[in-house]
Amino acid sequence: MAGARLEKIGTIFTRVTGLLNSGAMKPQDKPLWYDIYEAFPPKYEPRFDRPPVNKDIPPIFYPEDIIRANFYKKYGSTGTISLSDRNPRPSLCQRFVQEYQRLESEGNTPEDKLMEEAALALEAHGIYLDKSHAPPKETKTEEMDEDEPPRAPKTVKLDTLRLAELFKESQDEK
Amino acid sequence: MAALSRRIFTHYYAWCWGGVRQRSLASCTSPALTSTPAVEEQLTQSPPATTTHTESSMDQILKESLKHPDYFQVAQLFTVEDLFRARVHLGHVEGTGDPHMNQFIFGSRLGHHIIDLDQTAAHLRHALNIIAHIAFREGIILFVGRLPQHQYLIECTAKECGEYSHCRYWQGGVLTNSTKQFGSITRLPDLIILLHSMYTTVQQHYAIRDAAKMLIPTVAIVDSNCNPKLVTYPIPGNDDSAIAIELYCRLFKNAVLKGKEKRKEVLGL
Repeated sequence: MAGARLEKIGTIFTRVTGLLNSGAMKPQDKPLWYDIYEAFPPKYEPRFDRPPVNKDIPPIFYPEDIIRANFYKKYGSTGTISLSDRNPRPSLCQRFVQEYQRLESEGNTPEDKLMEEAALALEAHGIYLDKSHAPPKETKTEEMDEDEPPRAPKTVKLDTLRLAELFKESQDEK
Repeated sequence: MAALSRRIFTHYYAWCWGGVRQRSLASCTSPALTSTPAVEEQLTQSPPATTTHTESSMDQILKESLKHPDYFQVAQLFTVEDLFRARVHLGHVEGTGDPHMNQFIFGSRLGHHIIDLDQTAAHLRHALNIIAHIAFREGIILFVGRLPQHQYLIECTAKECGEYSHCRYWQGGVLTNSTKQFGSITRLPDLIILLHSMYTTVQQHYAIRDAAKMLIPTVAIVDSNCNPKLVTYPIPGNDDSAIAIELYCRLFKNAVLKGKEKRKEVLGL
């Protein structure tokens, strides 16, 4: 195909147009895309010498960002968070923000108490952000005690275990 | 303005002549018609002229197709919400961006650029229309990408829509020295689609530069760290996430297939 390989001058369209007008490219050799480009030109001309558009990039913030910041400042990281869109369980921070906004819209709580009230509201749902408020896990400790006796000999066994003993049965079978 | 109209007029004149010349070339089996002017050609009703007639009607259809803003109905293939769910809006970290991409960026969220999906949707619809038109005219489309994790997907996409792909090491003269590179005269692609416009982390893909040299239009996904200047139809969007690449591949494939189906429908095949 005819054509100077100077991609920095003009665009592919202007270069082909020039070739067609001057007769260097015959009309039957016209590229397949030429009519399409003419009918649907790109929004921004693909010129190499195109200057960048001056546009400031604004920061994106939401009103609830302040609540989120206060939450993480007070309680720190709450463990791993699933970022999946399809996750049906909202994260702790999301639930906290929901409670905070609900209390705020009700308007019964003074602003400086909102953080504490939101944490208390979560406690009503069984989520204890402050671990000292959590009830003692009595039922669970009992279960643990029941589990312990079978576990203890296992660990003892592991210390005194010998390979010969381990394969004794299979050796006997043979 | 005068210069513009002159350019369009001369182009239109050239187009007419191109049409006539092509027809005369195509209908070389009937030598009686090759020397007759275009007007007479249309008037003659003799049986050998039927091939010429279908040729001119195809030309007419091609011309008409360009007047319609969305001839292949590709605009309905996706919504802005689909783009958002595919994480197309996620750009690179602030400071790694290219100043030419600033106009496509919605804002910066905690140090990360967020791409304006309204602009992305408009550019993507425009590009899909172009792809469908190229496929409608039986143009060769080449899918290009360089990220190894998306290589298989891109190659499968090209295969499924009956087109070509190049996802491997770019040997210098694939486009610019194709005759030597492939050992014989090679037909170059009519459109190059880049699913990833970077070759390495910092280097732009050579296909963009070489396509501009060889007068081949390009459609490319440009992330916030890419340079869209030489890309004919840039689409601002995330080019790293697998889910986003899957969406682009699906859309491009559908656009190509729509163009091909329309051609079959028009030709009555």
